[in-house]
Amino acid sequence: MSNLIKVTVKLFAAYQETCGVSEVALHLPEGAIVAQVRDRLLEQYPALEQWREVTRFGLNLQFVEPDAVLQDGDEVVLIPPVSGG
Amino acid sequence: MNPIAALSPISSPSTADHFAITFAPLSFEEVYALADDPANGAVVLMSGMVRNQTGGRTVVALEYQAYEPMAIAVFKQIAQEVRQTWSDVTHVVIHHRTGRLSIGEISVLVAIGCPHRAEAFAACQYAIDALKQNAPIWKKEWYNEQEYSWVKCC
Repeated sequence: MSNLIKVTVKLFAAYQETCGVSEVALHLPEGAIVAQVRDRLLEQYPALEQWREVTRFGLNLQFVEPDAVLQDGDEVVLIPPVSGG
Repeated sequence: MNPIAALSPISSPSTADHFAITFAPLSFEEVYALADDPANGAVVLMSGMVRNQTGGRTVVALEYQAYEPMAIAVFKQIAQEVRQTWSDVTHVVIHHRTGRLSIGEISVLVAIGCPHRAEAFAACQYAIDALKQNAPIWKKEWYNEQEYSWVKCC
């Protein structure tokens, strides 16, 4: 049986509004990838499904690919389409 | 100690650049001053503000949210890329605002100091385009007191 890691997930824009919070803590199996964070939230909040394909991922303040492997204590951000400026 | 050397400090890119994300209004004068330099022949300062409509639909306000530490990291990355392409750039200054802004308020200021104007224009355009594409900043458009939507692209 594998151990669990704990990551902090920062939520913004539609994610924050749908989840009602700006941050959640998730426990995931060791070796989990960043895309699983999105999948876990979408399971819980199906209304977010429309953002699945357009969400990018940040890991400890850097953009990463969906298959980036998570470590215990990481800070993840789900990045729906940005619109700064 | 060589007195000439003491008069000509070489500023590193990190100290020559300035990045900020603020809830308070942005200052045009401050951003200009941060890009000012005796080596400049030009400063190009791009100001982005809240427009009163989008695609023909009335907009009454914009509400900005930022993931601040990552947005600042992206601003630094943009400055690095600017300096790789236009090595004469003296200063890269990027300030962005958060919170609810009314029509006409400034949401972003990008200033580039450079010995020559052509590079300053090109670098400034690159910087604002890269910011819009990659900075983790989001805006909600308010169409009236009840209706809004998160902007899906820029």
